Parts: sequence; C-alpha cells; structure tokens
Amino acid sequence: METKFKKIKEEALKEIKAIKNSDDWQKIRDKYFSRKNGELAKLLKDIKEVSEDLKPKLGTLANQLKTEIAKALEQKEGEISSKKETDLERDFIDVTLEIEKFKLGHLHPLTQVQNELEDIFKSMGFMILDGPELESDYYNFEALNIPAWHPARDSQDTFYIESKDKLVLRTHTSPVQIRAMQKYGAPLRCVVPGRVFRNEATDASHDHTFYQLEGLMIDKDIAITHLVAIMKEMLSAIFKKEVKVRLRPGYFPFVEPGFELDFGCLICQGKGCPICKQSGWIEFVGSGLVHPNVLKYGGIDPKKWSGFAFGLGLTRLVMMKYRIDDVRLLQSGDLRFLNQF
Amino acid sequence: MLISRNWLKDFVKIPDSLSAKELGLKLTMAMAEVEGFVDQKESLKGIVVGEILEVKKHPNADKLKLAIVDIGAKKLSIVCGAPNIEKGQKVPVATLGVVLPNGMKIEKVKVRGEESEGMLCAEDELGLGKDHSGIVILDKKLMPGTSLAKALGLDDIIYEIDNKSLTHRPDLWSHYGVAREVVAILSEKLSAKGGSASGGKVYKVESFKDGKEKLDIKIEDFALCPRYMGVVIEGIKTEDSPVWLKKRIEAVGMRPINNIVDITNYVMMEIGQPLHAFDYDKLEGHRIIVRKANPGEKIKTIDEQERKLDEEMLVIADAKKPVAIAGVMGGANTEIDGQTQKVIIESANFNHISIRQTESILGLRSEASIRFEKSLDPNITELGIKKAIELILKLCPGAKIVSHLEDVKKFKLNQGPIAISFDFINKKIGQEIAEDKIIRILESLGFEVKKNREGLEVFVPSWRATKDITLPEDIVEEVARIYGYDNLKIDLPEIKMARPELNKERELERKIKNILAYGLAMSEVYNYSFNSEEQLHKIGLHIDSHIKIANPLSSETTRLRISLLPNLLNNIIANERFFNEIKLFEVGSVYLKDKPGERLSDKKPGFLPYQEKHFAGVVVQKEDQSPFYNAKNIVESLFEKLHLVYQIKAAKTAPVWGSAGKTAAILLNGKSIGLVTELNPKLYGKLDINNKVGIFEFSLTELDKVYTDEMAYQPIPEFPSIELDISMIVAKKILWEEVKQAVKEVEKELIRKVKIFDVFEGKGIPEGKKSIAFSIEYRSDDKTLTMAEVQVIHKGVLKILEDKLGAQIRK
Repeated sequence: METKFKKIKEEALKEIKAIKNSDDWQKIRDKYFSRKNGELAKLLKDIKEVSEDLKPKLGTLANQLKTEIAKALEQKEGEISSKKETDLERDFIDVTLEIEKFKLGHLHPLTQVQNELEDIFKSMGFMILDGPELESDYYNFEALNIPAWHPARDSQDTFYIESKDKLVLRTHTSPVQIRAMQKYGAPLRCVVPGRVFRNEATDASHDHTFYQLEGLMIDKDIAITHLVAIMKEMLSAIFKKEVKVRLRPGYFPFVEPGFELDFGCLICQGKGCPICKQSGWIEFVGSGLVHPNVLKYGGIDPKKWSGFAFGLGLTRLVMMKYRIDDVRLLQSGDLRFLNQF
Repeated sequence: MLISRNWLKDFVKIPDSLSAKELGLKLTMAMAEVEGFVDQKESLKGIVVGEILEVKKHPNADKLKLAIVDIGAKKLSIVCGAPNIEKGQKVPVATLGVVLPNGMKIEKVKVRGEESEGMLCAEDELGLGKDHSGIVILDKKLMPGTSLAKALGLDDIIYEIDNKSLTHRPDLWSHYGVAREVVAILSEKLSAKGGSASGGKVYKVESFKDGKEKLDIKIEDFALCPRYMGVVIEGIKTEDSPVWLKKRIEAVGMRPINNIVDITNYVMMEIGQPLHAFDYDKLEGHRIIVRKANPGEKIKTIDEQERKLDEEMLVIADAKKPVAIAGVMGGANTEIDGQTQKVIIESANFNHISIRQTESILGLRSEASIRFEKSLDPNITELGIKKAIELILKLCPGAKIVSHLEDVKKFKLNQGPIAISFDFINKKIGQEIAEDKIIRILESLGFEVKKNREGLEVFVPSWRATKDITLPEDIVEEVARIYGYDNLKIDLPEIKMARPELNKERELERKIKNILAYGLAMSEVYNYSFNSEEQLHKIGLHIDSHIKIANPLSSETTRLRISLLPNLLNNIIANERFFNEIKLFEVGSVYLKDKPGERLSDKKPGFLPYQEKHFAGVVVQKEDQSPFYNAKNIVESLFEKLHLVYQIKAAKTAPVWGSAGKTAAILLNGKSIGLVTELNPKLYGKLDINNKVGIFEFSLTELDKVYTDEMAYQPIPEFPSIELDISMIVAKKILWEEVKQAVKEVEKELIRKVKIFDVFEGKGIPEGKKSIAFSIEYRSDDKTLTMAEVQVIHKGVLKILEDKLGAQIRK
C-alpha cells in the first residue's frame, strides 16, 4: 500500500509539474480529486478494504498525500494564472480591424421624407394620390380660379408645351385637388406628394424641379380652427415634438380665406436665429378654406360642403431636415451625396 | 413695396409706444407680409459727419488713399479706396464698432500695413440707395461729429411689404390704403391731415377752380379704359423738388427727377393712382385718344427703348401717333423736359387684363402697370388728379389751370350688398364672434353694414369692389383677420371615420424601392424630367418623339424624357471616376407624345399625353465584361421577391441605346413590360463611359396592373431529393432557356429544379459549340425516390437532349 502511495505521489507531482494551461490543470485536478473516480477517492476505497489496525496509519498517509497534491495543484494554479496571457495570446485577434462592409443601397432623402409624410397622413385617414406632371392649363390654372392673365400666374413661371392643346408642366400639385374632387366627390381627405416645375434660373436655393405635398379635406362645416388644428398635428408628427403654429393672411386664388401658416422655429425655440431670420417663425405651409369656385369646378356643392387645402415644400423640408445648403445636390445623381442617406 | 411710417402718420395716429417691430408684426398678422423694416436712426447709429482734412497717398498701394478726417471729438486716419474724395469735403464716417445696415462691422484693421480707424461710406453701404461708385458727399455746412441721421433728417421707419402678398389687394398699393388697414388693426380713426372720420372715406384735396378751355379726350373702348381724366396746366417750370418731397420719394425707394414727375410719383405712392404728365406742346392736335395700337405702330418709351406695338395693346395717342403705352409707360416723344411750360396731367383707369397682356408681351412692368394690373378703383382717378393739381399749384407759383378738368368715364362697380348670416361667418371661422364685434370690424374697414333678420347686408367700399370682394367667403376673411387669427381657439374636426383608399401603385413603388435599395444594394437617384436635344442626338434617339418645351430656359430643358435611361447615363459619367462599382436606380414619369392619357378637362374632349411611371437601373462594375447578367439578376431577384411569375426572353429588337445581341424582354403574362440590356458598344466612346453598363427599365404602371400581394407558402419537402449532374456540348446558339425547357418537359412533376453551374467555350470545345454543365433535382412529394427510379427518368432526359438539341453528353 505504501509503495502505491509513493507511486501516486510521484506520478501526480510529475504530472502537475507538466501542466501548461488551465485546461490541463482542470484535467489533472479531476484525475485526482474527482469524487467518483479520482485517484484519491479510489485510494480511500482501497483503504476501506485493509485490516482495521492498518487503517489509522494509512488514513494519515492518505491525508498527507491529499494535502501534498492539493498544495502542488494550488501552487501550479497560481503559476498558470500569473501567466494568464497565454490564453489571451492564443485567441488574440485585432478586433479593430476592418473588412469590406456589407453592401446596402440608399434611398433618396426625398423618398425617405415623403414616405414618412405619407405614413403620417395615412394614419390620419388621408388617401395618397398622384396626378399627371404634364397638365392642362385648365387643371393647373383655370379650375383653380386662376384664369388667363390672373396676376397670380406671374409668381409661377411656367414651362409651356409646344402643342395644339394648352399644356403646362404643373407648377404645383394643386391640379390634383380638382381631379380628386371630380373622381371621389365629398367627403374627401387626400394628400398629393409630387414633382412640380417652375421655369426659373437655378441657384443654391432654387431649382426648376422640386417636390411639394398638397393636402385637401372636404367635409361638413370645415372651419379655419380645424385647419390650424390639423396643421399643428401634422407638423408635430413631422418634427416629432409639439410645435407652435401661427396663421396670417396669405393669398392663393384657390382658397378663400387664404393663409400662410408658420411654425415656431425649433432651432431657437422662437427666440430668433439665422434659420428663422430672427423672427422666431418659419413660413412653411400655404393654406386656406377651399374657394367655392374651386369646389364647383370639382363638382362639389359649396353650399353643402366646405373644406381646406394646404401645400408645403417637400424639397424644402428635406433641406431643413438634413441641413442641405444647395438644392441642386438633390437631383445631381452624385453618389458621394446620395450614399450618405 | 416700401411704406414709410411717417407718411402713414399723415392719415392715422400711430402711438410712438408701438415699436417698429410691433407695427410690422401687426401688419403681417392681419394684412400682408412685412418682410422687414429699416429704422433709419438705428441703422445709421454711430455714423457721423466727418470733414476731410487731408488726403495722402497710401505708401503701399496705388489705388488706396489715406484720409485724415475730423469727426468733431477727434481726428481719424482712414484708408479709403474711393476715387472721389478731396480735402475739405464733408462725408459720412462709420466709426469703430459700428455695424452697417449691410451687416458689415467696422473694426480697427491694417490695410496694406496702414491702420484704418473707421470707414468712409458709399450710398449702398448706408442702405440709402444702390450707388457704389463713390463716397457720399454731404452738405458743406454740416458740423463734423453730427450724427448722419440727424444731418439728413432721417427719422423714418421704412417697412418692406412682400409684393406677392398684395396680388389681390389693389387698395394696398399706397400709403393711404395701408393707413386704412392700420385704422382697423389699431382701432384708430382715419384722418387726412386734420380731418377725421372712420371707415376710410376721408381723403382731402383742396378745392380749385379749373379753366375754360376744353381738352378733347376720346375713349374708343370703355371696357379697356373705364375712366380718363385730364387737365391742362400752363406756366410750369420744371425744377428740383423741395426737400420734403424729395425725402418722401426717396424714403420709398424712388429717385427724385423734377417737381412734376416727383408730384406724379408722390400721388401714386400716397393714394395708389398712377399719373402721367405729357408735354402739351409736343402733342399733335393737343388731343387725347385712347385706342388700340394700329398695325405696325411703334413707340420709343421714356426708357429710350423702341417698342413694337401689338394691335391688342391699348395706347394713348394724339391726333397722329401713340404717345404712351396706356398704363405701362409714357413715350419719349411727349416727355416733359426743362423747356416744358404747359402739361397735360393724365389720371386714368385701365382694364387689368389688358394691362397684363401688354406687360407680358413687352416684358415690361412699371410702378404704374403693377398697380393697374391689380384692378384699381376708378374713384381714385379723380382723387389722384385733384391731389396732383393741388401740389402743382403749390410748388409752381406760376402755374395756372387752363382747361376744364375733363372726366370721360363709363364704369359700374359691384359694391354688393353681399348677404351673409352670422352663422355662416362663425361656422367658417369655427368660433363664435359677437355680432357687434363683427359689425365693428367691417365698418372699420370701410364696409357699410345693415343688420336684418337673416343677418347682414354688407356694402363693399369702392376700393375693394373691383374684384377683391365679391363673395360671403371674402367677408369671412375680413372679419377673421382683423379679429386676429391668434385669438382663435384651434380645434380638431369631428368627422366620420373612414378607411382611406389605398394607392396600390404607390405601395408597390415603395416596396420595389425598398427591395432595390436595401435588398439589392442599389442607390436611388432623382433626375430631371428633361433631356437636351444634344444629349438625345448623341445617344441616337429620335428628337421629335420627345415632347418639346415651348419656352425652355436653357438647352438642358428643351425636351421631356420618354425613358429614364439617358439621364442615368449622365449619372454614370459623373460618378465613374469616384467609384469602381455603380448601381443606380430611378423611379419617375415618362411623357409619351402620341398616346392619350388623362382628360384635358371635364368640360371639353381631348386627352393629355400619356404619362406613366418607370423603374430603371444601371449597373457598372470595373472590369465586368457582361454587366447584362448583373442587370438581369437584379430584375429576377426583384420579381422573385415580389412573387411574380415572369419570363425574361431574348428580344427581337433593341432600343437604339441597347446592344442588339444582348437585349431581353421582361414578360408578365406574356406581355412585355420592360427590358434588360447592355449599353450599345458604339456609345461608350461618344459618351465617354469607360466601363460596360448593364441596364434595365420597366413600366411600374404595367407591373401594377397585374401585381397582387397574394401568395401561398409551399409545404416544406417531406422526402429527400436526388441531384444528378449533366455535362454536355451543344451548339453555341442553343439558349439555356431551351435546354431547361427540354429537361422539364421530360417529367414535369418530379424534376424540381434545373440549375446551371458552368458554361464554357474555347479551348477543347469545337468551333461553334459550347460546353454546359448543370444539375437536375429530382424529388417526389409522396415518397423517397430510389436511385433506380431516378436513373430511368434521367436516361430519358439525356436522350431528349441528344435527340432534340443535338447534345453530346460528356461522360
């Protein structure tokens, strides 16, 4: 028995000495100290078999052996842990290294903002409508209460088409108001995002092609107070915070009364800054109660129904949102710009 | 339009406690947009009169001078580049720390090594005009150190009102008109220098005695000229206007010319009536005929431009020739000058449409025509001429009225009454406003109001009756804006819930955009709807199949696109040098000439040119010799993601910009909705594109017609499949599609997939042949197929390939 003890001890110390890492250490520890088949457990079982008088001695020896091996293991554990970097070294990679990124495409910022606005209006029960970009003079002007030689035509430099019919590139999304009224009648709630054209010289803040969003709501007894409330809801949804609005007189031939709707500058909270030209307000929406003549053109009885219409610059909103200082970038097709979105 | 606060004060009391900003805001909120204002005293703060004691050469710069300037308290050394300074002059000096009206801050700086302790100012730098040719030279008598504002008597506040916001308000194009609004806004009373009344009826002119002579005035068409007044005055001496008049004219941005011209401008700015003065002696027959221009007539206007007249244009003529383009501009031939002694003063009213047509054809707008085009009140014609006579008599002591004050007129204004109920007003506004408040507001604006059982009868004042106010809705606006939009309590409408109809095409468009961008890694571009003729020509597209813009601003905007491709090619050209890989797509309208689209109008027949939305994409990858497959891959991946049953088949024809041998049609239900191709090899050099371009374009509108988002899932296979490969040599011309079809024909149910994995031509393969390798997947839904069963079918496949396609199976 005693020689067996000695043998185990020598073997164990040798094996412990050879341990290189914590995995080995764990294995060796288990080999000797496992409660079931550890060498020491087996040894204790063997001791149970010997005669009673030998037991005390062997027991003492066994304990000594256990202590010695445990001590050696403990010592080794210390050695290993002081060399912990060995694991780290073995697994090391440069986590800051960059590989080629997964390729994702990019939606144009106008698309992104337009989608957002469409979703807001859909949630408020508005239809999203389209209309022809190449329009008749009738829908673009006449049916909107802008007869030939109306001074309001001045402020909308128009691209005319060489054709036997009087055709224009629409100067606003408003012709879709009439088309929608004729198609759907009243009550009606719709918005029309889309491309519009003005025949003017381009610079950093003007382009001959840009995007508007037009809105129309027709129902019973629609009033100015409703218009302002819905505009406030819309703007708060767009800017994702409660915004202040104010109404002031504005002139658009297809509404009466007509308003300019401003919102409180979000940059300076109305205190005045370069963005709002020190006024605390940003002019953003043209609006008004639909002119009775326009309702008539749309085939809706102005005695029964009333409504409001509004229009805002989608392009301008995009520029405000992303602080874009040159409108021409939007239609430049320059990937160095587009790939930022 | 510029409005002087001092001038307004002639007619309405504006308390000094109401700051410049506050009044501006009140006008903006109730009348029309005030774009800004200049407080003359504030803007010239720190700018003083200086006397130039000495002008020296700048030691380091030829064009610069060094001026020693006495500003009373001290002497400054100032570097100046203006050519017109001399010793002894009195000039405006901006001292250190001053911020000029244009935003420039004066700081102590070294200019080419010499210190400058201030700045001598030109007119534009002081915001007093546009001149930048030299330093403003002041009156010699002024004391150095006096503030410039005081020296020039500048104590006004000038408001700038946005002209666009006055489009519908002919009555606001004058100080008197704005004063009427201020009365209503401030609840003040209107006065005309002493007299006072509410409701805007007061405008005082001094009475005078007119002469005996008759002035012959003939109006040929009263529809175009509803009123013409004229008077002959002699003993005129044209000279500089007195300071008060010049100051007023200058304050509102006009240049003083001489007393007569200044008076006509003054009256226009005061009550909005444009006037014109003819030199009586230059008028042949001394008579006035208002008529349309004769064929071929021309006139040189006072701006020295020769202008061809149109037979629809209204002119003022004497016995022989046109002497003015009515309401737009006078002729040089009858212009008053230093010798003028006798004048005819014209005060007239012209039809706004006629004026607009003339302006538009001539490309000419004047202060007069801007007013006439708004439709002026014919009643101010009389006030205008009377005011002018009053001023001429005052400023030209020798002046004498020799003619009768002629007045030829035929007009009728629609002044109502407009019947309106209180309920209507309140329902439109959305808030209850007290009846007496409504009446008070309307009366303060000059409306006459009669209350009856139904509500109100509202009589429109003449200055609002030309076309501005005709409807009950117009009355609502008057009440609401003066009541104050800020005083309204906003309220969401209560309406029936309803599901909005879905815009299917728009939903599909968004879905496709998302797949292309976030699935297939393409970038979205927005291009213009225009093509240039040069661009179309280069590409080889037929120019005349593109709709033509009648009035393009530049050669870039002359035609409308029928395909998105030309502009996408421009995007490639612009991006090629920055990127090795370019994958772009666009969604946009195309405009097709000879196909009918939406209705022109609901009132008459006819259709717009057809317009539909296209999706198009281009793919470029450096070194990629066959980007066709990339383009096709995109279309296939997209259509598969949309669960569409589609076909891509070799097309018989290619567009001019496409490569003839590499064009395929995209078919849905057998109908072609678009194509996949590669750029025509001839175009690379012409367009300066370096890498091969894969292209696809299809009609979203057509796709939408067949698209549904219905789909049913396929059960997950229960039994394993067996895959067998085939490698064979066939004729080069045999399409993969044919091979696939032939294989599938053999056993429609059990052959699940036929997948190509290699195509090879060249070494080891006979001329005119190619080697194809592909795999066939066999699977049954009912059981596990055994190899033996599969082999039977597979043998059949091999046989068909050999028999039908002449394939040589490689073992």
